[in-house]
Amino acid sequence: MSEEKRRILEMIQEGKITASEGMGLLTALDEEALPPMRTSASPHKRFLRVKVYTDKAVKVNVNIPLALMKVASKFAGIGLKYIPDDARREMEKKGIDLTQIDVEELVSAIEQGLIEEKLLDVDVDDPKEGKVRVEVYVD
Amino acid sequence: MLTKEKKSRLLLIRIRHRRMSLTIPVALYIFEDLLRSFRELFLLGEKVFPGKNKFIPSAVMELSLYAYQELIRHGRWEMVNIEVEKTRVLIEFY
Repeated sequence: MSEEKRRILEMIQEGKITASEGMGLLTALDEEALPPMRTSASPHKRFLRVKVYTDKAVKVNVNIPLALMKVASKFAGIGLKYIPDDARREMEKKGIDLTQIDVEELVSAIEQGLIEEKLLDVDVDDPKEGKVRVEVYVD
Repeated sequence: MLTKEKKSRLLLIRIRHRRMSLTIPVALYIFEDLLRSFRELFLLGEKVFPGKNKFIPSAVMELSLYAYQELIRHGRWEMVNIEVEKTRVLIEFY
């Protein structure tokens, strides 16, 4: 039992405060001890972050406001048209079809706090740069 | 609580290649004025020459204005910082 709680109980025993006042103080103490509740920040203050870094330096650091992603998601279909044909063929060979990704739904899920972990967290061994880490996350 | 957001006023594009450095400052209010002017121009065009085309230029301008407002609401922040070999490109808002 913490020192504060013991003192509150002593004050009730000595009649310095009533039982209900003591209860209120104890509840307040417990609330203070609880970790802060995780609340999802406003989409206007959240960013989609793309980071690529090695042991020596940050190679890529791109930050996009989540609210802007919402607008951009409406144009995702247009953006996909600009993927070079050879890259598209390479992806099709591996069974990746980008048109199947519902970007609007993904952004909506992030906004609602349904996706809390990193969207991408990959370690790559590059012959030139050494260990390279790629991270995509929202905060 | 009502708090006034500190908006970005300047966009800086910095390109560094080896020892050379180029900084391009862009006053953001020019963008806003340009987008607003184009939106009104397109709105007028759509009223004068109504068509059945699904593409509505004024709506695109409206979305662009929304995107602009989202970009400037964060005050000072770094949007892009990319280093490729000896070249670094930075896009920052101030």
